[in-house]
Amino acid sequence: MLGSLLKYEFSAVGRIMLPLLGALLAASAVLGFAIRAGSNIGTAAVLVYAVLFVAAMLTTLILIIQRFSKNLLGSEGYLMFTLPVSTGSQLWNKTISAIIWCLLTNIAVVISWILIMVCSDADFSAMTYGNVNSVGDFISQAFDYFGKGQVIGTAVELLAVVMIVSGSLALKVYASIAVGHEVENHRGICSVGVFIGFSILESIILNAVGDKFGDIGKDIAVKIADNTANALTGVHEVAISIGIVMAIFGAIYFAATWFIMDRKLNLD
Amino acid sequence: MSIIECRDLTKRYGSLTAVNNINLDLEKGRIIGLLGPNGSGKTTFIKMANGLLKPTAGTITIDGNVPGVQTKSVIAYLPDREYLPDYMTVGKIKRLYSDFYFDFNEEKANAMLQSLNIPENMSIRKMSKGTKEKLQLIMVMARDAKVYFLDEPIGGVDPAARDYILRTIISNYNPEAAVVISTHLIADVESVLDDVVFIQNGNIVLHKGADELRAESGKSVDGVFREVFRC
Repeated sequence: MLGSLLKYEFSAVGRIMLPLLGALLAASAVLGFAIRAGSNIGTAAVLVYAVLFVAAMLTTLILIIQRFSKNLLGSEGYLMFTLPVSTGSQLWNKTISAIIWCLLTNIAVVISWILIMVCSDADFSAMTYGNVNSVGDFISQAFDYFGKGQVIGTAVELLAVVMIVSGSLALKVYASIAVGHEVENHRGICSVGVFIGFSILESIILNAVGDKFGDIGKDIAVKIADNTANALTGVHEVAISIGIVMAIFGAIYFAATWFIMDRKLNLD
Repeated sequence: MSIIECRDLTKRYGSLTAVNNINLDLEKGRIIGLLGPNGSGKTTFIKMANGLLKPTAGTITIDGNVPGVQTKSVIAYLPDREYLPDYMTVGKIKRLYSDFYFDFNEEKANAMLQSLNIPENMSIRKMSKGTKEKLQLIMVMARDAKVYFLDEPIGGVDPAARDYILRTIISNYNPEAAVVISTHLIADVESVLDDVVFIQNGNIVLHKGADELRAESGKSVDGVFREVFRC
């Protein structure tokens, strides 16, 4: 049943996000060509791109909030909570969808930057380090320097961390809305308060373990300065540490949200 | 044989008791009127049966199970509000019901949609309030469920639509099922009821066969209701 839930969730979010991400990519290509032509529509193209960029980021966040608060805890909840699926499936559905849409938005943003560079055919040589003149140069030199396996491994690892962080953020939003929904009045304000409370708690915990990250960061900087090919080892350590800490936060938010939805549900 | 069983079922909101210590057995193969004025606890009771509200105390079971995945697969529930996502079309809603409910009878749904001239590609956003209510009823009654909970199915619609809704219920429900119709418009539903349950301030004040009640009191169910709930 999770597969069926995901199918409808993707269709609900995709009808808004896909045109928006498509428009972002189109605007980035237009901006690139405008730069290449030295056209005076450049300023307008920058503005359109910037607006679409901010809109894509904000809409992703708003949809994460809305697909939980409206679809589950609003009037549509009368449909969703009477489907014969478990509470766990409902929550995984929202979390997986949030992770994938965050990832797709990030990928679209990176592609839009590449499109601007490629379409503008700009000369970046003065701005870049050494003789890196294009995205291709950058990748091939990174492969030569660190080794192909290391670079690809690190990229996959960073992607996994982005997914865990997105999932954890979405679950923090869900837990805040679920806790806020338990009070009778001012639910919105209460949810925002709970979210801020969770964030403060997170930062206190992260500060406690953060000194270790700081030392690793310094270590990476020293290794890069020394031209040490082992610099990526430090990146692995930071990525894995962040991944584990955020996964633990995410698991706690998941458990709290599941408990409220499964055992304390009071749909208006 | 009882398909819905409540034992000491209670729901409180702070100091307000919406459902008070209800003990009730409802049998299958019957159309049951859950009758009471506004605020008497009808919707709260139905929402607990559907797992949308958790009881403060006591239990409710459907076909031997507490509300959960198992009961949701055998209950067809019509809430007292618009609940279908308005960006979806009729065709998509039908596919959704078909994907999730093994007892959804698509042919039955198609026949009802055609009789009302509701096209598959029509978006819910573009429908009138009355058409939305009819579509919701069609999706619920196209299921071959064990229990139907219909919360105020005729509230807020014109008399012609009331007739259509009652006809749809009568001609489509699974005869082996229990059909619980909650309403305060007794006269309109009286003719279809097998059993009546009167609920007042969260308490069950009467549970009888409709014919038995009429024979004993010499009045219609509507007449008895007006007497019991006189303001």
